[in-house]
Amino acid sequence: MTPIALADASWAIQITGNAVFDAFVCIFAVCFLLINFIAVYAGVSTYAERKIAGHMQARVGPYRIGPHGFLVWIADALKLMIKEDIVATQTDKLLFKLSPYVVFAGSFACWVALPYMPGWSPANFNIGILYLLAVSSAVVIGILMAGWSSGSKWALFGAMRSAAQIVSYEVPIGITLLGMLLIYGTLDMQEISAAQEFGLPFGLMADKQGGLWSWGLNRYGPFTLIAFLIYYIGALAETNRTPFDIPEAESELVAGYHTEYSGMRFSFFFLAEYANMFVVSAIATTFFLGGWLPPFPDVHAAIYALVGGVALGGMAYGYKKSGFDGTVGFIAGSGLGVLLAVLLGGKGEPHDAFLLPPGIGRAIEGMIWFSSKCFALIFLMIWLRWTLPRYRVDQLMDLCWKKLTPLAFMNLLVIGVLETRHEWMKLIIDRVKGGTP
Amino acid sequence: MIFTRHPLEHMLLLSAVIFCCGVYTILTRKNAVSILMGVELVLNAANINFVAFSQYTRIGGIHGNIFTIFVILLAAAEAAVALAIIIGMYQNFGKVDVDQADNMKE
Amino acid sequence: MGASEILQNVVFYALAIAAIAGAVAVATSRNIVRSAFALLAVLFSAAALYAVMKADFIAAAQVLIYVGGILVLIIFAVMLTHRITDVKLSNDSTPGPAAFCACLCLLFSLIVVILFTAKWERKPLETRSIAGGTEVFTSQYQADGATGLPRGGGAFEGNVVIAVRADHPTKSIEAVQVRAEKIVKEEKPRESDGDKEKVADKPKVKPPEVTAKAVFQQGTTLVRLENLEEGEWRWTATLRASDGDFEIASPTGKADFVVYRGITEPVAMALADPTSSPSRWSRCCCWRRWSARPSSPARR
Repeated sequence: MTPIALADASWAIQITGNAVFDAFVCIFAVCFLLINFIAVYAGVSTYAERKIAGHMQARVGPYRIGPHGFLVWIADALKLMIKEDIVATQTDKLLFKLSPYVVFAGSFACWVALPYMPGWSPANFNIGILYLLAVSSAVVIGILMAGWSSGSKWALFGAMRSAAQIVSYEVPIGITLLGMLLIYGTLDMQEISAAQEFGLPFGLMADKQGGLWSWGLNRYGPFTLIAFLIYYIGALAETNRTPFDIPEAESELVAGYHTEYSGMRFSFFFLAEYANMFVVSAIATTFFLGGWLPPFPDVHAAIYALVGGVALGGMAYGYKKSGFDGTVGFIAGSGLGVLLAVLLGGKGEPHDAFLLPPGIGRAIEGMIWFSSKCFALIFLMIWLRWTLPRYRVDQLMDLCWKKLTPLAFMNLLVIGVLETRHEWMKLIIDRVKGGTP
Repeated sequence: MIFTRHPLEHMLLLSAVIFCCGVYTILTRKNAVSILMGVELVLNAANINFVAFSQYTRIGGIHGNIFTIFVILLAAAEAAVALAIIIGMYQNFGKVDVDQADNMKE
Repeated sequence: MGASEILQNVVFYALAIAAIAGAVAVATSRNIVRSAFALLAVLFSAAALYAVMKADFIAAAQVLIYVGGILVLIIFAVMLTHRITDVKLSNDSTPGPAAFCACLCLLFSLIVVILFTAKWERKPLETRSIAGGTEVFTSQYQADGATGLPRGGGAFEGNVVIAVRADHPTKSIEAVQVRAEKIVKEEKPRESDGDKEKVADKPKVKPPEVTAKAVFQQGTTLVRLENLEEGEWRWTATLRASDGDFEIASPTGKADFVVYRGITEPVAMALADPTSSPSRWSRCCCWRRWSARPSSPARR
């Protein structure tokens, strides 16, 4: 008799008759899909970064390769792949070669637990957020490995600073997430997203579908908003983005822990950084911005109108004016989208409007909203990079330990008190009615 | 051919081997941080044992799992204190060799 | 077909090899940083083993605390306590035959204990007997119904499962009833002066008895005995058939099993009722005498 059943693969789709083989096929397919998506997303993200940087600095950015420079990320990827693989002699060769993979594995392992669609993640754990925080720690070890094995003291300093920064900022991140977990009551990412569908701020009217108002960051007035801001600042520090990018400060430490890396090995670090940006944005989206929920629950056609309007408007205006000063185009397109949304608005699920089977319409809609929110947060990260100056390392640590951590603790306390509002409201009402001291 | 799942004894043997590697590390190493790594190996072996007994059989409920959480917690606290002592030792004596930390010997 | 067992075995043995390789590298590597990263391999393998054993929370906690906290701390300590510019940090060790032999002896004794003393998951030996013309095999299990409890062995909870297997019953059997009786040691009359009558006149306390019944199933019937006190117990099983009860002959002699209820159970019970008599385990604890002193009726 085996009291505990291990390897229960009953969830595997029936492809071949064998459950184990099916499990392997599913795992392989999902990982293949995710890796491809990460690669394409990281590439396009580099293009977006350079374009946005250019426009913020009143220049054009990449322009020549492809229409408005859109294919420059493919060119970059090819360049990195065919570059010479330099491994210096003073390095610890095994660790030098291993560390990009450890860093990338730490980021990639987080992608499998994110709630992309309502009801489906590649691997939905009931300890979701705990798993995400745990495997992000592999990134720290990889960074230390990289800095140490580079054989250069500047790389080592960069690695140690980066590791200290990441590990320090995990504290306010953890505490703010803890406060939000008090509200949701579960560690499961899918359930956290689903819990933001109903309820108005301060827990009133728990049956009403509030859309934007029932999202995590509106749940307890300014306190969850403060939690979101603390989390976002911590996330900027976790991914070594400006204003916290001392470890890769180009003007100060050459390139920090990945100074000695070139070619394909460097591209892994690059991929890992952008993948990490998506992961922290995804966690912020799940906890604070409603995950895959739409901001206007009654208006389902709004999404298609919005996306279509923005795209069409932007493209039309951009093509008309060469040089793509697309701000006016974007405003026009968005305005068109909002107008269409208001006009087409009304009750109805997207699968009523289009001939899609019921579940898939909702799933695709959920995925589009999730990705849009993540990309909006990533855009914010890129925007901040080219706007704010860099923190000095002691200012960075001071900010974390002396300002964010106490603020996060106080926030946790207040959210905890507010979460028991039913009990203290009842106490107050009883005391007022009963009058007993 | 009938394949059966590995029995509990194999997990306990794994834990015993890791335990002995940890004890060997503690006995032979001169660097204080290495000795701490040996202690971590010993604690991990004990944890694997606890969780194995708790998950392969259900005698006494999941007390093994809960005790493992306690052991992880205590290992973290102990490692922090031990490393603080080691860094203090480095700052005062310039080396972390336990064979040469004999100031109190006559 | 056994494919999932093959997968479990492959995963387990791969992780075991990774963990052992890492542990050996920690013990014998000449470069302390390599030693620290081999510890990373051991910790991750341990977390993966916890996940394979379906203890997912502990796996996440292990990675979060051990890898994310302790290992980072250890690596920082390694880097802060050496001259930073060396890549090949030497890690001297004094490997002598004494330490190696001591560890081998330790390993050998652990292997002996694991393999040969405790029978954790082995199927218990079945006792064959005949009751009412039917061949019956009886065996006993621990409280989870799956871990074997050898005759005379220790039950680690207050519940025991008795399994009665009759593959070819000659009669129509309706139920199986098990009656368990605790073996109470009779107090021998002491050779003390003047107290002989008191000891002899002490009323015999009926030993605690637990009865349980289960509907007979073709194959193995499991009967669960619950709330057994600590001590040695003996049980007898009866087959209740339509035309009468047939008792299964069980070997007499020493106890069938001994119940140990752990160190917390008598503490909890004593806190609830300080007048109850202390059990064998808690008699060892001094605090028990303190708490029993004022209110125990035996002392009045």
